[in-house]
Amino acid sequence: MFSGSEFLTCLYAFVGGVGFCVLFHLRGKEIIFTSLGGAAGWLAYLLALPVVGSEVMAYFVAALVLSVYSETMARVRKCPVTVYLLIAIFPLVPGAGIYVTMQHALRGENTLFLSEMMHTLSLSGALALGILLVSSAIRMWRVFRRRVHLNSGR
Amino acid sequence: MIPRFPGAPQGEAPAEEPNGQLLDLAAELGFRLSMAGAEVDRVEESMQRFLRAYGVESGEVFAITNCVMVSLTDEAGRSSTRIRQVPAHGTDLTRLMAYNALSREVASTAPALEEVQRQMEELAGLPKGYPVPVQILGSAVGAGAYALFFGGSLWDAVAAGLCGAVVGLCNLALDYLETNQFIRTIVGGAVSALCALLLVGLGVGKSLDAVITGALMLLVPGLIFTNAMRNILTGNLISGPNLVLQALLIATAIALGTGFVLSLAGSV
Repeated sequence: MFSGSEFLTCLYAFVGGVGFCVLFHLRGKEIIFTSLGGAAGWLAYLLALPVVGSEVMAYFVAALVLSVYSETMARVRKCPVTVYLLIAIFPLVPGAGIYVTMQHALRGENTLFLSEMMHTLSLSGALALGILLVSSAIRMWRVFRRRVHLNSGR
Repeated sequence: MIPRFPGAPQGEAPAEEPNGQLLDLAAELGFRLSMAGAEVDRVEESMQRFLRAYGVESGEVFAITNCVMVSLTDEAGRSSTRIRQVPAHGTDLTRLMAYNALSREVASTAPALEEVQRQMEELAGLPKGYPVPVQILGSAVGAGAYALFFGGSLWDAVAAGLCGAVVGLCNLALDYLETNQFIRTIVGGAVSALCALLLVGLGVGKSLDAVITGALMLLVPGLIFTNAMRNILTGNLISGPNLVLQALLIATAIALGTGFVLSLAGSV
C-alpha cells in the first residue's frame, strides 16, 4: 500500500518547516516542535487518504490531527497556538493550487481555471474547518468548565 | 509626563484625558501584535483583555488586517480613541510570542502602566529577526526541501535551493527598497523561473516543474488563503475576503512573473 518514498515526504516536510521557521523568525526549541507538527500533519494526510478515499476529506482529517497537536503543544510549551499552526499547516496549504489557478486565468483557460479554483477552495476550506472545529471544541469545553465551576461555587 | 512611543502621535496628552496612557498602550500592543503577524482575532482579544485588566468595561476594540482601533468612554461620558494604521509587514514569531506573553501577564496581574510601558520599550529592542545570511540559508533549505517534497530528485533540490536563495535575496532587496507586494512578487516569480531555467539548462536539475514549484513555495499565498478561510468561517467578513483578495493578487503576480519568463523562453 505504501512505499518508503512516500514516507520520506514527511522528512522533507520537516526540513522545509525548519527553513520556513527561519523566514518567520522563530527561535529555539519551537523550531523542532513546530516542524514536527508539519510532518505529523502530512503523515496524517498520507494515512487518511486510502481510508477516506477523497483528497478533501483527507485534508480535513490532517487538519484535525495537526490542530490537536498544535493546541496540545501550545499548552505544554506555553506558546501561542498560532505559532504551531502556522508552521505545521505549511506542507498542506494549497499554495501551488492558487498559483496554478491564476496561471489558468491568465492563459484564458476558463474551464481549467474554474475547476482548479474549486479544488483549491475545497482544500483550504477543509483545512480551515478542521482547525476551527478543534479550537471551537476547546473553547466550548473551557466555557463549560467555567460555568460548572461558577455554579458549584454558589 | 511619560514619553510616547516613536510611532505614536506625539505631544502632551490633554489633561482631561485620564485614560490616555491606557489607550496608548492598548493600541501599541495591538499594533505590535499585528506587525508580528498575529491574526485579527488574537489582536482584538489581546487589546480587549488589556482594557479589562484595568477595569475598563466600556472599551471597544477593533482590528482589521491593516488597522487597529481602541476607543473608550470615561465616567464623564467623554470618549477617546486611538487608531493605528498597520503597514505591510512580515511575520516575526519570536516577537509574536513575546507580545503574547506580555499580554497574558498584564491580563492576569495588571501591573502599573509605567511598568507595562517599560516592558514594551524593552521588547521593542528585541533583535530584528535573523541576520540576512541565515534568512537566505532558510530560503534555500525551504525551497530545496519542497522540491523534494513535490517529487524532485536530490539534484532538483540543489537547483531549487539555489533558486530559493536568489529569490530570498531578491525579496530582502525589494523589501529594503519598500517596493509594494505585487511588484515584489512579480519580480520574485520571474527570478525563480529564470534561475530554474538556467540551472536546468546547465544540467543541475532535471525536472523544471519540481525546481520552480520548490522555489515558488517561498512566494505562494497558501497560508494567507487558509487564514482567509478561517476568518470567513468564524464570521469575520471584513478581514476574510480582504485576505482572499490579497492571496489572489499574490498568486496572479506569481503567475504573471513566471508566465512572462517561461513564455519568453518558449519563444526563443
